[in-house]
Formats: sequence, structure tokens, C-alpha cells
Amino acid sequence: MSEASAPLLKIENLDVHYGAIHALRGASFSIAQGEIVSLIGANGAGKTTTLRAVSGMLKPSAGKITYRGEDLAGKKPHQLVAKGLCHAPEGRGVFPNLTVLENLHLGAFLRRDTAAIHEDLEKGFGLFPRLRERAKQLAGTLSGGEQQMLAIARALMARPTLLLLDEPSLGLAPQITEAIFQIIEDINRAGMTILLVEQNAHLALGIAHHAHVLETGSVVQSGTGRELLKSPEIRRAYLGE
Amino acid sequence: MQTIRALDLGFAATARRLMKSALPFLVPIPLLWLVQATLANAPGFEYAFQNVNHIGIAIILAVSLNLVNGLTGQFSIGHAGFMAVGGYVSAVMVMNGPTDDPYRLFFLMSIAAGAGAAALAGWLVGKPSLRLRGDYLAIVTLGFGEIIRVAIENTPAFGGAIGLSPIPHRSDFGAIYFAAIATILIVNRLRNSTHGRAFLAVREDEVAAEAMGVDTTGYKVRAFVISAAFAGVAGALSGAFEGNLAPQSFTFVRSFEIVAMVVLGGMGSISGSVIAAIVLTLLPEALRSLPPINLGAVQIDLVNLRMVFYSLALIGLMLSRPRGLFGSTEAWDLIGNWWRKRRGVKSEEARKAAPDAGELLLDVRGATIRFGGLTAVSDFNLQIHPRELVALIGPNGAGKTTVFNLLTGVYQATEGSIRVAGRDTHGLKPSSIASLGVARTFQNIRLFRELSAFDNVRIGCHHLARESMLAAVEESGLAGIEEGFIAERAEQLLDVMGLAARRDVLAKNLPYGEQRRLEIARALATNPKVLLLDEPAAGTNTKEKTELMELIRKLRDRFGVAIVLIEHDMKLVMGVSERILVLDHGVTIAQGLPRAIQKDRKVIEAYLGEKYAREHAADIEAENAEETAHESLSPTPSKGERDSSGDAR
Amino acid sequence: MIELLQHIVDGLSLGAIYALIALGYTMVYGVLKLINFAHGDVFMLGAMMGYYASAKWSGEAQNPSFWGAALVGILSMAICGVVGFIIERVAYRPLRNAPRINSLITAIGVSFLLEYGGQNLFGPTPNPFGILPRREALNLGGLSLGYVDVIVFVVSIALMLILQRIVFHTRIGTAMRAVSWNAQVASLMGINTDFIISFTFVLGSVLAAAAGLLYASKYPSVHPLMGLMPGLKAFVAAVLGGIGNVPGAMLGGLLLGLAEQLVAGYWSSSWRDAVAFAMLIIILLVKPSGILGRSDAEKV
Repeated sequence: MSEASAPLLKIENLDVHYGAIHALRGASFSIAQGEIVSLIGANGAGKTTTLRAVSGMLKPSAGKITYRGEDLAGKKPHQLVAKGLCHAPEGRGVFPNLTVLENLHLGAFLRRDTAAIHEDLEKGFGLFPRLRERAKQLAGTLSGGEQQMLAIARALMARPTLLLLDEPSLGLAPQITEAIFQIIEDINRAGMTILLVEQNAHLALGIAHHAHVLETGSVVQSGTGRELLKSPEIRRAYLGE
Repeated sequence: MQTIRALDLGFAATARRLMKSALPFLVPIPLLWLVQATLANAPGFEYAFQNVNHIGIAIILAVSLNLVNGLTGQFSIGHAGFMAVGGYVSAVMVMNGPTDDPYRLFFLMSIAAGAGAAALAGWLVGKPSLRLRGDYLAIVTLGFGEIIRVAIENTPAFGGAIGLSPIPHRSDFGAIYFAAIATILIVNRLRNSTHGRAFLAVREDEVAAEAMGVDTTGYKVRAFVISAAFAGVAGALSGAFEGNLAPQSFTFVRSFEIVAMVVLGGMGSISGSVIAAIVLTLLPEALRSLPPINLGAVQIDLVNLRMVFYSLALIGLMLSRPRGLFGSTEAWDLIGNWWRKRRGVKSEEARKAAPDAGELLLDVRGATIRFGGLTAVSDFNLQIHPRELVALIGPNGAGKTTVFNLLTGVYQATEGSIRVAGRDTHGLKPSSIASLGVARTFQNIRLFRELSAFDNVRIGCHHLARESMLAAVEESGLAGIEEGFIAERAEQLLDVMGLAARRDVLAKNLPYGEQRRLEIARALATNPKVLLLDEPAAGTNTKEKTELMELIRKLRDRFGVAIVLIEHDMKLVMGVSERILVLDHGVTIAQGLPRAIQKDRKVIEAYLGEKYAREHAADIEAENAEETAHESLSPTPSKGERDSSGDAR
Repeated sequence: MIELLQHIVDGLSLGAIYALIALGYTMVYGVLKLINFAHGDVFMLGAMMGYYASAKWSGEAQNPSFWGAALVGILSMAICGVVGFIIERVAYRPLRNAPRINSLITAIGVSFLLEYGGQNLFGPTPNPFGILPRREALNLGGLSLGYVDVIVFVVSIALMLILQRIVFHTRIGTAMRAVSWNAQVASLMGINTDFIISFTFVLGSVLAAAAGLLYASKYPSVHPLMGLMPGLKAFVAAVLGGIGNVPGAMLGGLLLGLAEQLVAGYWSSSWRDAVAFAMLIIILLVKPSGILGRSDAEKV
């Protein structure tokens, strides 16, 4: 089997329980190198749970996750970061007690290539000029939008192969959301594979090569972003028609 | 109705009721007296009864500490300090009192004084420190326990470091065990009352408990004071039994032994505490009888290893069986489960309050809240009339839940005023606001997870109960009737929410959708005028959403409540609400009828999205035309609502 | 005036020791939200180990040479670091996700295990011990600067500055601060949170050992229960400054030392133990998050 045809990430029959709550029920899908894949679905459908299971924050009760042909069972999040699998968590996952610069350096925690880190830092400041202005400020003093920018910039500092993005539009004004989605497309074009969870189904489907619909913990529909945008059921259930 | 019947019963019945409540206290007396008279002082039994009496005192201490550490979920490790207060106050009274004490009446008075002094000390310690979380409290109680000891050592009237001796031996087997049985009965009756459920609610989730109208700080202080009073009784009995009191016997080691009993027996299990008190009192005696171990130069007496053993047992137990040996189950529950019968009174129709439609239930003006530099909600205005259905929408992080937190008193507004039924809620605790008639559910379900569905709803009925703690302990009169009424109401609500079959299931074991419904049932139990629902449709599928829409209307019609709804599902929001407010970055960017909101430019940009607008443009235009034709300006009930109003009785 | 200065000098030297212990509480609380009850007993072990090491090597537990003292100090700090590591690994890590009350009970269990295990191993009676050589006190115009007091203060401040440097200016320090805010998110940065937590325990225990040695030099005797009161007071110092806050712990420690010394000097020494708890109650009533602490509202 050639390297190109094998999926970068493959999820098979994934089950996750939170106590008595069955959050994922046999979810399966895969992601090819270089794709943007979106997960959409209602609150509580299991989108964030899927990301957490992939990044090792949660232990699945059944099923298998394969990344570059390697079974991820029992791997801790920090070990996965070393393998290029990076998760930008939902909401304001920045460290408000650290400065913007410290937050960004934490993104590159495992990297030793000082020169390249500096280069990436400049690149991040290039994408989000606001962050440069506030580099010395505590992240907790940033506005919600700026914190979200910081979270994304920080995730990029790890130079991930696969980036898991959870609700990048959360609580952002429409224009900023638009800018952030433009950036997501740009970094994808530069070669990064992205698994995106987003409650704004319009945005999520518009940007995705492939998308999967989660309902009560299972994938109920899959297709290209465009196909799903046109699907009558999707339009009814998630686009508010 | 039942209440009236109960009050009619008259003197004879009152006497009978009092008798019935006192009976369990009185029954053991002859038996205790018999044992005391025949065995306790018989030659050859002295050592045995010394141990038996130590066990009795340990039972009083462990069961009373369980009220704080087990039932209320706080963590006190200064129990010996309160024991010392009671012991010394009683001992000083007895030593300076009459030498002849017929029927030990003066001794009884001294015990009461000791209990009172310990309760006062408990109040002084608890009032400031119980606002803190469990771990802080532990340190404060430990520190206070030590301070009390230092204070006694420095007080000449208390005999300083030498202690008090001789104290007349007025305490004996009978007295100690009467007190032990009384402690068990009282703590058990408290636990089975509405107050007991309030204690448990505090343990399970303080925020939710406040939202249910439980004054959490008040209950913590009460548990602490009652527990301290019992410790005082134990101290008084212990001093008068041993014949002396020394500050060295009230160190943290003593407190730690009591904590070990509660933890080993099971946090919240009274019978567990009793059994652990027996075992841990006998253990050092057993160890004492074993020969010492020789480790070359060092010789270790096993009895000195007692504390080492306790600590290892605690660590081992926490690692392997964190809820203690008995968990929170009771020996008598296991035996008597089948024996208990359920009350089967048929329910009457739910109350249908019809508040004056002109009255403003909620009146929020200019409410603003800032966290540090961040303005979470600014200049928020909301007026809710009775039976209105209003939705609050906006992007995540827009401040919707913060608004609920302001309305329910979880947060205090930095500026502006919030009135509930005409009353300014500034400075009121969430529990007080709950009793004004504001109930809520939580976005991330906050049920009392370790309690049954039935108990969850019964806690919601908490502020309907007027029974005093004393009445609960008497287990008589009004208390019994109220308990019956609360049980009935709780079952009725479970029934309305389709949860009747889940009555005895622990909340944490219910499926997601049922947990959400149970939370609504619990909120309704507080008898609200306004019900705040925070994302009730989250995590439900399309079919469940349709059912929920029906349910929301049904609740409004049946219970006559106004409902404010936070929700992302536009179909549900547009279908059910009469009025919509849109928040973005804490600012109300639009409000009005659903149709107006759907085409509002600002709302489309911030929240709904261009696509949504485009796809609804046709419908909106059509409806607009219709609306103009009817020239209807009043909030038009949607179609579904008209349907359901038919089945409102 | 001289009397006041004298109390301030004594208070600062005592306060510096409290601050050293308080740092361990506050760092562990920062990363685990756990009051490590056993911390005061690690402090005791530090002094104990010092006593045994110097008794073994120099044949006497008092008045050793400079290098002897340094060697004993390093050895005792190393042993306590290992003990701290083991405590976390065995007793606390399995309970990482359990209710906090369970961890708290375990911590109390560990504390008593060390105290009463210590009583059985070391014997319950105090042993005379002082790691620092005895010298005449310096006399500055009536103000007496105890040799031990000066060393205690200087060493404590030096250790605190080193710690400050580690926490705020190194990679591992940044990781510690990240873990203290949110361990899950920190692990997504590639931080091995288990390692950071172990490191924090080791660091705190090493500081506690140093404090134990200094305390034993100031009050030259060691016994298995000696950690209890200083441990509790240091915890109060940590709360006073704002628990979880490193500069706060230092400030709290110094303030508490001063307050105790002033009460003992101007009022009555038998009530000095009550000062700490009185301050605790006052701060909890006035500003529960401590002097330098921030208060976070619980997210509902």
C-alpha cells in the first residue's frame, strides 16, 4: 500500500462513555493527508468527544483510532503532540495567567529548533498582527476574539501534521470568524491536514473537502462539503430550515 | 386540606403523636437501667464495661461528625475541640455544684450547658469558615481544635495543663448509651426529613442546591452547630465517666480517630459510623494484648502502631474503596427495604396559578456585569409578563448564560437593577431568589448525581416545607404531613415529565434526555413563576426536539409559568417563542417577534448567517404579507400553541 | 525603637522559614488543587535526616564544619525530594480524578503515617540538633543579629529567588504555570503533566527539607511531631498571600513571621500559636482569595 493512499487518520467503531452517558456509539470515518474534514451535529452529538478521543484526552471504551498506520490506544496527549497531532481545544483554551508570548512558546513546547520557532513566531504575528501588539500582556486580558486568535496561533506553533480545531468561531464576531476561516483555508493549502468541529454548519461545510454528520454519537451522513450543503435533511436539521 | 385535618385532631391525638415520636427514645431506658443495675458494676465486668462505655462515647462522636463530614460533605477535623468545650463546661459546673445530685438532674443541666457551649463554639468557628471549600475548612477546624486546647491549657479555672480532677462519677453505662441511642435517632430522623435532603443537596452540588432554594451556608452552619453540640454531650459524659479531664486527651489525634471512624464506616452511613466506632475502639485494646515486636535494637509496642495502622487503613481505603466500607447505605435499610411501604395517596390536580397578567414577573433594567476588565453583559433589559414564552439567542459566549446567572443571583450585577415580582434582588442569595419564584435548569446538567430522581425533585420542594428541624426530629405532626405532601407533589411532577418509572433510579444513571427532563421537574418543584431553561434541546435529536417543543407549551399551560429559553435550535426557538432577544458580545442587538428577528440585518450578521436569511427570505416575505393583511400587532401565538391550548384544563 | 527593630529582625527570620514551607503548599495546590497535608511532615523529615546524617558522619549533631553542614543539607534535601516523589506517585496520583475530599483524606493519612511512623522509628523524644555552627550574635548598637538568624534569612531568600527564577523564567516553570491553570490543555501542548506534577512535588519537598534544617538550627531540636505546627502555619501563610501564588506565599510567610514575633514580644508568648489562625480567619472574612490572589467565579 502506498503512503499516499492510506488515510492519515482512521477512526473505526469508536465508543466513548462518560459514566452512564453513552457519548459516542460506533462512530467511523477517516481523513486523508491534506484534507479539511468537518464534523457537524447538534450540541451533545459527540463532536468534541471525538476530538478528545483522537487527541488522547479521553479513553474510548471500544473502537480503534489509527494515525499514520499506528494504533493510538493508550497514548497520552503529550505523546501525540510529539507525533504531530495537535488539538486546539474548544473555547478559550489559552492560559490567562501567562503572557501571549509565553502561550505561543508553549505551543512549541516539544520543539528544540530555536531558529525555526522564531520564524514560526513571526509567521504567527504576521497572521494575527494584534498578537504582536499584545505579546507582553497576560492572555487573560485579551478579548474573546483575540484569545481565539491566540489559541489558533499557538496550535500552529507546534507545526502539526494533523490539526484538530474545536469551534474556532466560538463567540466571535462575524468578520473575525470570516478572517479565521480564511486563515484555516490558507494553512490547509500550505499542506496541513485539519479536522474541524464547528457549530456553524454553513461555515464548516463551506470550507470542508469532506464532512460527517454526527447524531447521538454516530455518523449518520457523510459526503463532500458541497454535497452536504445541498442535502435537504441537512438543511432542515442543521441549517435551521 | 390535609393540613386542616391534622390540626383538628385535638389534645388526645397530639399527646398520642408526641408519645409515638418519643417512644423510640423511651423504649431502651428500662433495658439500659437493667444492664446498669445488674452487670455494669458487677465484679469481673469493670474492664469490659470500661470498653463498652468508650464505645458508646465514640458512637456519639462518630455519628455526630458524620452529619458534617458524611451527609453535608464538609470536612471537619476538629471534633475533639468541641468535645473538650462540652466536657470542661460540664465538669466545672458539676465540680462546683451541689455534692448531692438527686436523679442526676444537675448533671443533666450541666450536660445541656456543655452542649450549648460546644454549639456556640461550633457557630463561632463555622460561621466564618464554612463559606470556604472543604479543604480550607479542614485546616481551619484543625487549627481551631488546637486553639481551644491551647486556650484551656492557659485557663487556670480549667486546671491548666494538669486538667480537672476529681470529677464526680455521675455518668455511667445507662447515661452514655441513652445519649448514643438518642444521637442515632436524631441524626437519622434529620436525615430523612427535608432538612436531611438539604444537607445531601449541599454535598452533591452547592450551586444547584442554591438554585433549588436551599440556603447552603445556613445548612452548613446548622450541621456544624448540631454536630458540635453532640460532641459537647460526649465530652460531658466522658469527663464524668473517667473522673478527670486533661487537655492532652483532646489533641488532633483524638479528632483524627473520629474522622477515621466516619471515613472507614462510610461517609453518610450512620450504621457504618457505629460499627467503625466499635471496631476502632476495640482495636488498640486488642493490639495492647499482643507482645511487642523486636527489631534488633528497637522494640515496638503494637499499640503504639495504632496511629500508623489508622493512617495506612485510611490511605488504602481511599485508594481502593473511596466511599468507605458501607458507602452511604445503612444496615437497617438493607434489612428493612422490603418492609417499608410506599405512601399511595392519589394526586390532586396541579395548582394552576393565574397571576395578574399586568404584573411584571421579571423586570431587568440596565443590568451590566464586568469580570475584571471584560464586560460580559452590558445594559441588559428584559421584562417578563406572566405566562410569556421568551427566547434568548446569540452566538456562544454572547452572555446568555451570564444573564441567567444574574437573574438567579449566582452573579451580582455590576450596574442596573433586577426585580422579581416587584422585589429588587440586589444582594439576595440565589436561594432567596429561588423562593421568590425563579427556577432554572443548567446548560451542563447539574443534578444531585448520587441521589435518586425522587430525591432530586423532593429537594426542589425544599422551600415549600415549613417544618422546623425540631419537628423533623420529633417526626410528628406537621412534619409528617408535609413529608407526605412533598412526596406526593414530587411523584406528580415525575409523572408529568414522564419519569414516574424512574423514581428510584440514581440521577447519574439516567440517560441524557431523561436527565434534562429530571432537571426541569426539579426546577418546577420549587413552584416557580418564571422558569429559565438553559439549552434544553442540547444533545437531543430532531424527534426529541419536537417533543420538547410540545412539552414547553404544556408546562406553560399546566403550571402557568413564564418561560425564558436559551437555545441554539432555531426551529425550536422560532416555533415556541412569542418574543426573542438576541445577544452578541453581551449587547442586546435586537428584540421582537420571531419573524422580525429572522430578517433583522444585525442578527443575520452576528448569528443566523447570510444563508439562513436567504433561505428564509421567501417565507418571511409571505408571512409579512399575511401579517400586514391581518394588521395584527399583538404577539401572535404560533400554530402549535393554539393546538395545545385545547388540552389545557 | 531598638526593641521593635529586634522583633522585626527575629520575625523576618522566622517568616522566611514559613515562606519556604508555604511555597511547597502553594505550588502543589497550584498544580493539583490539593492541600498536601503531609508537607509539614516532609519538613520534619528534612530536619530528621539532617540529624541522622550529621550524627553518623561527624559523630555529633551540633556545631559541624561549613562543608559538613553543606553536605548534610544537600543529602537531606535529596532524600526529601525522593520522599516527595514517592508520596505523589503512590498516594495522590491514583486519586487524580477522584473527589477532592478523597485526596484530602489520603493526604491526612500520609501526614499521620509520617508522624507516627516517625515516632516508632525515631522515638518520640526530641533530640538536640543544629546544623549551623554556634557563633556569638552580632551586636549593632543594641540590636542583636543572631548568626543563625542571618544565615536563615539569607539562605531562605536565596532559595526563594532561585525558585522565582525557575517558575517564571524557565521552560519547565512555564509548563508548571500552564499545568496549574489547566492540566488538560497543557497536555495538548505536549507537556507531560505527570512529570510536571512530580517535579513540583520534588521541588516543594526540597524546599521543605531546607526549611526543616534551618528551623532546627533556629530552635535546635528535632522530633517526629515538629512539622505539625510550622506546617499548619505555613499553610496559613500560603492562604494569606493567596494560595497558588508564588510571590504571595513569600509575602504571607514573612507577614506571619512578623505578626507572631510582635504578638509574642509585646503581648504574650503563650498566645503566639493563636496568631496564625486569627490571621487566617480575618483574611478569609475580608479577602478569601488572599492578598495577592485572584478570585475566579465558579463557572455555572
